Amino acid sequence: MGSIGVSGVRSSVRSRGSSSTTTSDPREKVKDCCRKLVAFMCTQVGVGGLVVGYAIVGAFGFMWIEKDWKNPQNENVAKLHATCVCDIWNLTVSGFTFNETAWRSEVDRVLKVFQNDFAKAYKEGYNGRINEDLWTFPASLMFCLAVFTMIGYGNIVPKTPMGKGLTVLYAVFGIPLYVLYFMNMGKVLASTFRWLYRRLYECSEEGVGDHDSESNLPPTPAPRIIVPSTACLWVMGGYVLTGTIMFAEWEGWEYLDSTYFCVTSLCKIGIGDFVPGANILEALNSGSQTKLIINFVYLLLGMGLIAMCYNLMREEIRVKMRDLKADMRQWLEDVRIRIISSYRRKRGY
Amino acid sequence: MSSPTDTLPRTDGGPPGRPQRTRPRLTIPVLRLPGGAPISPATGAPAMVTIPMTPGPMTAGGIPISVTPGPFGMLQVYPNKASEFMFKQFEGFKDFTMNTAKSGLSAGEKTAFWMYGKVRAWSRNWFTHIFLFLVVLSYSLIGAVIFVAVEGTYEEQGQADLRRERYVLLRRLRELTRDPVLATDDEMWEGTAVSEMKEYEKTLYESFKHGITLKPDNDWRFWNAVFYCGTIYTTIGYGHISPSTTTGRAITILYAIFGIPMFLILLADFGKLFTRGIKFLWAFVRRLYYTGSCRKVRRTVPVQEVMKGVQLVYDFATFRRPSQMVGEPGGAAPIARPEDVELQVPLNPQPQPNIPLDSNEPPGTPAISTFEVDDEFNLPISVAIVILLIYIFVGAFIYWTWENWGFFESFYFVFISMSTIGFGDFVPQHPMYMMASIVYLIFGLALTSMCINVVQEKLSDSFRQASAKIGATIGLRVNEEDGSITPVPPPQIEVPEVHGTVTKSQST
Repeated sequence: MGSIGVSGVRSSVRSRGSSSTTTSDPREKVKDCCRKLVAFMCTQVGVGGLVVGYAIVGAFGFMWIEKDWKNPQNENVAKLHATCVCDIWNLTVSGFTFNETAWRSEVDRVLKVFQNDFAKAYKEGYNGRINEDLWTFPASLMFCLAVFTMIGYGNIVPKTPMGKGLTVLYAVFGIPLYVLYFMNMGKVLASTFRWLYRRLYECSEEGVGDHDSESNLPPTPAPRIIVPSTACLWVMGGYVLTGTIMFAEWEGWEYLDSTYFCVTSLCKIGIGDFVPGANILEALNSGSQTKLIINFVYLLLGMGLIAMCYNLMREEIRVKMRDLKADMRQWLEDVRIRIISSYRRKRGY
Repeated sequence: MSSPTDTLPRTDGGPPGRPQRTRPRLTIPVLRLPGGAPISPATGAPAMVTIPMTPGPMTAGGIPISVTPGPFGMLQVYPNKASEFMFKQFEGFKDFTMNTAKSGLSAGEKTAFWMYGKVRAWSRNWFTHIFLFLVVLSYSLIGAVIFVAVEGTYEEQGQADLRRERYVLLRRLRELTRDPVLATDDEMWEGTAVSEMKEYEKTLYESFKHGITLKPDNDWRFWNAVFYCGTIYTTIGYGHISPSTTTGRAITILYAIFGIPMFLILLADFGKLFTRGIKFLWAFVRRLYYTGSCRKVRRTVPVQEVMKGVQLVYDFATFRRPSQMVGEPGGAAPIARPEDVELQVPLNPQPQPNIPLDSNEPPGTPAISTFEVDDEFNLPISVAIVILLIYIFVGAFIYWTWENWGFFESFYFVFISMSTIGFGDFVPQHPMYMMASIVYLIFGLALTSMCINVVQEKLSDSFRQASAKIGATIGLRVNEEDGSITPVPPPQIEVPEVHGTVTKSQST
């Protein structure tokens, strides 16, 4: 292999020497493309793939750890059922049948007890299903995503001590990795957006500036086109709108609830009262598996878009914030001097 | 444009305050730019006291504005430095007048003056921090009031709904007992009753999920609402309380959009305070340890790294260009809060290898480390991580004693909260503990972001090295600045032609 490598090099040197201006050799082009691709993957796309792989591995890990956990509240609630019904039956047969008000008040009391115990069980973690149904693959994937993007929905949480410890470890390594991904995605998307914007701008200018080509002006260099911040805001708004419509249609949420979900997820708050695909009955059919995958991609891409917006808007924001901060400092000094001088005036200095 | 100087020393013995027509006051040449803001030629004349005072009804009258003469009316980003310089001039003049005036004062008044001077010096440093903190506090309180108003009423109604459901169930059971067929058969009655109960249970579960609980006092009390607001703008988002009304959700959206950037600024500010304190402590400890040998040692790379990280956290939120450390070209590294990251990375300015403290260069900030004593035996990354771990363990210990959680659960809770993941399965119950938690978490967040930044910088460095190595072996080089890839021709190997001209098909 070494000789072939050497001879390959030799040939490439020779071919480069012979055709110095054009690398018209198709094999050379292919090699070049391959090299570029691999290096690109190592820098930018590779991180994205790493993140997705990390999520998948984590999902399998958590699924395996958590599926055998028995929720002690399930038996508890079953017992509550039985006691409540027994009590009511006992009440019924013990002769209250013809005294309605007494029967009602007694049964009401029994029901209240059941309600309070049920609330307690709910607080302790009763959720009406067994863990194996809860930790399906899409749900675990969503959980892993919630951990390393720091959203943290909390609709499913690890209950076993090992699961909790694994969560901590997973976060410690996942979060910096995610930050790396975020930074790279932002760069890529920002350059893509700039290119797109420039193309659109030029296309729109071409129609206008055609009649100028007849004049014998020297070709002016293309003006440096800076993407305005409003374009970024429009992009973000459009993305949130897309998400709203998507989730509202799929999950049957209201539009405002969808927007609420999108905004709280993209801001990485992650309250957790709305989580797509959390409805267990849906998750068991395969159609919603793809939905969860799409949710995953939507959130990841959304974070990247936020990075892009910061990237594109940073100059403008920076200047504005600087001015704002200087103004604020000035105002603060003003206020402080005023307070001090009024105090002194009061004291008669 | 200058007014005739009135060189009467101020008899009231203090720095010139607001212009009063009746009082003798000090007027000093004021340079006025067409931009409108009177700018004092402060840096030009160290001996002259330069206090811009307007002799008449002008806009910014009489208040020393902390600006330095920049390009045409622009404010430089060293307002603090300039104002400090100016106040130093103030002090000089004031001391002069005070000393002449004080000789006739009693002891009590002298101490009053001394205390006043101390308080003023102290307040000057801390005013911004306190102001930011007050802003965030008032934002939380206002948000809490709004949420209580919106959600509290809804909750009461929800509880009424629950009661109604219970009565419905009661009526059904009553009908069951009246049913002559079922009344005789135990099993059947129980079976039907259980199915009715299951229905009821489902409604209970649904309403619990929406936040209606059975507690005698409702969830949306004032302090709970404050805590909820805190979880929103720190982006922790526990979810143990969540808005159930549409209005509540809409308000949450707006609240988040405005609250999160504000909190980021506060976080960076506190982070800077915190790290300054730690560094000061560290330097103090080291100086104590090496008493007598506190010579300044040449800074080493690891030290620079963590200081860079700390500096960048602050630089982001104040949106300044990151300061470069001495000898580190192009080191603009990303920051823990990923949003901050993006601001710094492409912003890789022309490498400024040396930024002296009083540089007149376009905006950068003075590097923190130039203020401090350094020592060769620092391992800053470990130090940062150790401090973070100590902080987490202290917090875990506190929660372990306060709440009835195990120690591991407390640790888990503290970690999940500080990394802003915030599942919400463990939430502190008492309102007072919640408030203390928020303060604790704010500092913890500053610490965490510093550590994450340091770790992530390491990761990205090794990533870059790895990709450079890979690129080198496959004949490409990745440019540092923009990640573009340029092909590097493999080194030409001079091999003598043994077989004459070798065609491509033969050689490969």
